[in-house]
Amino acid sequence: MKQRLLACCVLMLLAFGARAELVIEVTQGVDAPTPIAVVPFGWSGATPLPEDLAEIVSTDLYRSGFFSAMKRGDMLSFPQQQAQVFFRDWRVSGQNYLLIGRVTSTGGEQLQVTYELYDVLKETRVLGEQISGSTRNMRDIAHYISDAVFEKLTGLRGAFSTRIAYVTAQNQGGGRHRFSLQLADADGARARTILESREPIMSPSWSKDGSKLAYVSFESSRPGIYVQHLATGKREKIQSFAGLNGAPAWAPDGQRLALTLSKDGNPEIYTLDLARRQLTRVTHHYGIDTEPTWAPDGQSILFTSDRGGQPQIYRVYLADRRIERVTFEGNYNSSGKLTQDGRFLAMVHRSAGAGAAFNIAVQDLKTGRLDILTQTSLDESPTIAPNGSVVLYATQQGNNGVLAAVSLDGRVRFRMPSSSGDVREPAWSPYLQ
Amino acid sequence: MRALNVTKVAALALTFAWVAGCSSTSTQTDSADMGGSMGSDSGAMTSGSAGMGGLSGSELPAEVANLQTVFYFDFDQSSVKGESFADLEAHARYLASNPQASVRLEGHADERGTREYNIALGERRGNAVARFLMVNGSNAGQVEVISYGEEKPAVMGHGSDSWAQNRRVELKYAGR
Amino acid sequence: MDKRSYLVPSLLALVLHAGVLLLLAGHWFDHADPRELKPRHIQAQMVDLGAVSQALEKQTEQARRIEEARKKDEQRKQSERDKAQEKQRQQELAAQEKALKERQAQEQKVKDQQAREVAAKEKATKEAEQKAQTQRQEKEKARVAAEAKQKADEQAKLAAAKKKQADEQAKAAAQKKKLAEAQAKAAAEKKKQAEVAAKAKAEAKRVAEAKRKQEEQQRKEAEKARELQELEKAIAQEQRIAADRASQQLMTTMADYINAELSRNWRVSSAFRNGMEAVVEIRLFPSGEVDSANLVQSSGDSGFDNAAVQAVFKVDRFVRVAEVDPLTFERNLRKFRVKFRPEGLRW
Repeated sequence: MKQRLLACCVLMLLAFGARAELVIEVTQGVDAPTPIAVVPFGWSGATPLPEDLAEIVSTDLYRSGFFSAMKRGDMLSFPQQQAQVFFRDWRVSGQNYLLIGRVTSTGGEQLQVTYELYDVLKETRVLGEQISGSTRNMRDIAHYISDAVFEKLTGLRGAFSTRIAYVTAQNQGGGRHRFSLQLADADGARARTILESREPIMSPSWSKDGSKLAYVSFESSRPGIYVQHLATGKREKIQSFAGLNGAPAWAPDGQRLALTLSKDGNPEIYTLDLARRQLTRVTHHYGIDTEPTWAPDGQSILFTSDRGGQPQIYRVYLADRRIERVTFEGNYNSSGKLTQDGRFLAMVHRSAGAGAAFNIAVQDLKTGRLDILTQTSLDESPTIAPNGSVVLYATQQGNNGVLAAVSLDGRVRFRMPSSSGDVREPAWSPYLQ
Repeated sequence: MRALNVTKVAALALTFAWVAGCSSTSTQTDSADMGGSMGSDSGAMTSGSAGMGGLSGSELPAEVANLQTVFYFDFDQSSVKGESFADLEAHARYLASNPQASVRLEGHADERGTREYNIALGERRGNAVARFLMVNGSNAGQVEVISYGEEKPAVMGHGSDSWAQNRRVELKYAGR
Repeated sequence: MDKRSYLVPSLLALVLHAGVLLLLAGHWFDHADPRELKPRHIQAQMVDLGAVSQALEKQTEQARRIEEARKKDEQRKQSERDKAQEKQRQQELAAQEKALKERQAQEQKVKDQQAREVAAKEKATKEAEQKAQTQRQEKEKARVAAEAKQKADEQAKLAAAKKKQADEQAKAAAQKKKLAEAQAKAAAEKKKQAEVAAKAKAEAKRVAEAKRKQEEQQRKEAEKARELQELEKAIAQEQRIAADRASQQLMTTMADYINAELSRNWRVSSAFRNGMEAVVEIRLFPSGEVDSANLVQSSGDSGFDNAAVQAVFKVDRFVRVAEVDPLTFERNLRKFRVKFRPEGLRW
């Protein structure tokens, strides 16, 4: 009887407690991108515009891995103004957000682009802007809109207006090759050649302000490290010792390069103060030390070393030259690249076990957890978007190298539009001004 | 480096004993290259092998014309195989008796693994051959090592046969 | 856990019902229990307590039935349900009271019988009486009755003694036969008068006793009424608890439902990290439609916050909330909070 009374009391307390504040805790969600509809922008000009803004924005958003873009064929209407928007329709077709816009000519090549972003579920406008431009920079306008929408909805800075550099190679037969260094928009469009050579070009690396590229060229019959100013095309040879001169990596402060030299007998990591031309040796080991990459704080350098018998990634602290091993899983980890927050390390990884493939993996340096992001077999040269959302890398398709991308969580993968020949060694620029 | 075999140790020791007097540190001369500006070719430029000393396809000196010039390596290995010894010794003898001759050793790797790491592997193979030559009589100044890593495969393709042909060191005589 | 908490009371109720049936079936309850070694008064006491606790148990059982009925009724409209429930409750209450009264009458009968038996025993032995005195309430009543009888007996004895005296006097008078017949007559008359007086006295005692008995009866009645009142109070409380429990259970169901709806509509992006946490306050219309959803605690990540609020609007309408009775809705669902806290993310 006593127990029953007690039970009753507890129940009543529970009932009162629940009445005071009902809190439901949701811990599981849908592992799916957010649906957005990007409606073709209105245009009343006589001649069609050179670029389809909505298409570019839509593709940008989709490729980020954060959004799924509605197909045009599924749209019931193509509103260009708020008055033409019937939220119910968009809600019923499963959309969370709606982007509409219109382009008007302001004389000659000059254009004015207006876009508006709506929250379909709340039925409110969340973003809107007017941009002036010309028919010649419509892709820039589109990426600008993508960035604005992306940042508004995800809280992350968009990286659609950034660029990528990569190397292409064409076998012209008879032992003759043609190498070129390419520069393109982050979506692979508007590629242009900034350097061509019959000898290998390797390891492009962006300066932190995005104005320069450092790379390795064998043009003088031996490898040399060059820096090229993108605006002027002016280039200078920075380093060409006997032996290896490779793997330049720009320090966050923009004043130094980390690089690999074997002038002292075997590959070691050095830093070079560009203004003072002062070379400082960082590693001292008879094994191979190469592929340096800077931690975002500039205090340490991560590099690949086979000092443990097989290539693994280590970190050396510049202040005291203390070295710690970073990767432990698998029998081959190299070519590491850190996200801007320094938390995630993307790398080429091969699992232990015979016949294992080379894949792109990402390691959470906070927890040590390693995830393999790709399923192809000869993946290499990972480079991370400045906002850390996507890893771009090189892989093989048939007998050609192509560029592919995978979101950091492995959810979205896509191939970059392939240019001619073998494409390799992508390098994602920082945010550009 | 853990796999340093007896041959290499012996080779190294002999190298130091034999060529101690004549070895000069080539690195110092190379530092002159530092900071050499390439001018202001605007953007795209083509830099070929016009001024370089390499001679792919040029004829071998008669004395070594019949010798092998490409030496292969096992996967992830940089030790010279026994099958290469005879020809390499012959090359070394030729270099020893022709001090004005010089060779360029081009190290290569297969496509597996990362490019910069493979450049290092190719160099390691080139160095192994260079040491072998020096142990067998050639002068350090006669031998130059350059690594192309996986950038210049001998054959295309992604199978083990292609890979085996690409893991190599090519020995090339420089023009006089 | 739920299952257990229902199983135990249900079983208890069933067992106690069986007990009641046994009790009501006849007066041989005390014989039915072979382990019972205590005197009969105690048995009587036990019956009394048992009856009360059975009544309570029955109410618990009924409360449970009400609860079940309510659960079944969930699908039906609120007004209908309320009416039916009210009716049912009243019926059950009436039935309860009836049962209770019957039981009390029964109990009374048993008690009276026992009181008589006790009185008889009192006469035979004082020890039993002393034992009885140590008992509580019921035995007290019995003792009072017994004392009354004893008094009457003593008075009767006194009367008998007086009669004896009168007889002796009559004998003495007979010895003094020579005394005047009138004296004898007077004596006879006196004797007669004494007898009448004794009779009258006895009658008066009987009346007084009856009156006392009546008073006692009234007192008992009042006590019963009070017990009944308490019982009703207990029933009301039981019903309230049952209603709360039903409401609580309904809310558990609704919370699960709302959770599932939100989980289906919450887009977890790759930028989310374990440990992020945002709280959204949701206001609903009785139809289940979302009135508003406002962030009350930010995760510090605007993308995460956005997605949480979006999840609520994406649901648009929590259809099953419309089934909830107005009281529960007002109490729990008009306004509530949802904490979005991802678990098991990669990072």
